[in-house]
Amino acid sequence: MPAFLAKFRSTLTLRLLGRFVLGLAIGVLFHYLLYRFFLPVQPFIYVAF
Amino acid sequence: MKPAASRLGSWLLLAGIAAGFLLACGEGHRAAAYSKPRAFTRFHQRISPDASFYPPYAMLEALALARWAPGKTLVIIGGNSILNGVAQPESEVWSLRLQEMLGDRYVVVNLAFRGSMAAQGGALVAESLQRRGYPVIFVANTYPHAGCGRAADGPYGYFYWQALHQGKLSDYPARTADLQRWRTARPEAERIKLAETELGARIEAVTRAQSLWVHVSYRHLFTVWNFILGRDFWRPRVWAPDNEPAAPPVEERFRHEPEAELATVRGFTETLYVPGPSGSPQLDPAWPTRLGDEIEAAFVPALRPRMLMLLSQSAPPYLERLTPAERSRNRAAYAAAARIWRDHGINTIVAGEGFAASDYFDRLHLTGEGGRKVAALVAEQITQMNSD
Repeated sequence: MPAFLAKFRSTLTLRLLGRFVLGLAIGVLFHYLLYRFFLPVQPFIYVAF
Repeated sequence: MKPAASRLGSWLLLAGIAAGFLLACGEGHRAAAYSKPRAFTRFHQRISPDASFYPPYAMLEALALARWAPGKTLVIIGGNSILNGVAQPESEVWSLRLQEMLGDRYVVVNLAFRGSMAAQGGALVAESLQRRGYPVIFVANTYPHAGCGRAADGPYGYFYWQALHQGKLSDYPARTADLQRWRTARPEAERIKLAETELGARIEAVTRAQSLWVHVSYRHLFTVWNFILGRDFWRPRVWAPDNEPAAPPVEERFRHEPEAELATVRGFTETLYVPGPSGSPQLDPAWPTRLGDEIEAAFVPALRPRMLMLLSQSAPPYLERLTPAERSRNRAAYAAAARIWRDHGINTIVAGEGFAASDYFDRLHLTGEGGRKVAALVAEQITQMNSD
């Protein structure tokens, strides 16, 4: 395989791999946002009753 | 990128999102099965909702089960800050004394939270574990006027919804009907909030997002700012020790807004009285039914004989300032409340009668010494309950 073609293919593979890794990060971020979304907005302030 | 490669890139991005999310869910389920605070004594302030640390329901069960072994009885402590051990430094927490007094046949797990009600948190863990065949005793506290609360109410209500949607609780129609009535009667804003909490619990059952990220917050990095930790908010909570201070000398206690505190002490029983036929106050005749209904809806019948309820008495410096009539009313209301709880099959004692001012840190919370006295009372009751 000519060198320029091999370089193109390796860059392409890296880009595709990068997309997948980016997707993984977004998926994990989405999971984290679910946790944050359901945390109470108002702080819990303890008062003895 | 060529069009075909670009399409492939988009698919890989989507596949990555799905895989990342599923991976996180898997890790969440793994964390739910084992994640718990290290060397746990209690949920101290910095691993409590006060400091934006919301332990998932699964963590409470993991804490209880991690210490249990066949042949041992689990003593699960619920209730509020008094049983959490607020005002007792870590080495003086009353539940440690209780463990020492009960010995190796028992495993004491303190799941009490500040501001929690008796029907919440630990009560659900006790119900769930008893249902699965573990030998359980549940200890909690309240006051005559406060009842036991509702499992789904307030900042700890999420424990109920999570336990329910994770299939941990018994099918108990009295509780379901009571919660339905209560929910329907709430103002719309609260109904929306409750619906959100329940939706969160349904999602937690599938994704375990809270389980995973609370685990990460405890072990690696905390991501929510809060005013208690301030600049150190980001540090993993495993770093934050239990820093409950020791009580100051007794002459420096009971100085904080004494009149307001005294009014609160009066309110513990005053609200239970109504004018009688002769005009003198008498215990509200509707109260036993009201409290009884609350108890019936909160605790499944199987758990009640295995429960010990403590009615926490106020500190002597306040009781001594009541008029003789108020003092007698206070005593009568505590005795009547104990009777009502017992009538519903729950072992009940008044905790604090005969205690000294030095046993209290403030109006309600006990020092290490006061905690030791409560531990002795509870140990005696538990030993008796377990031999019946």
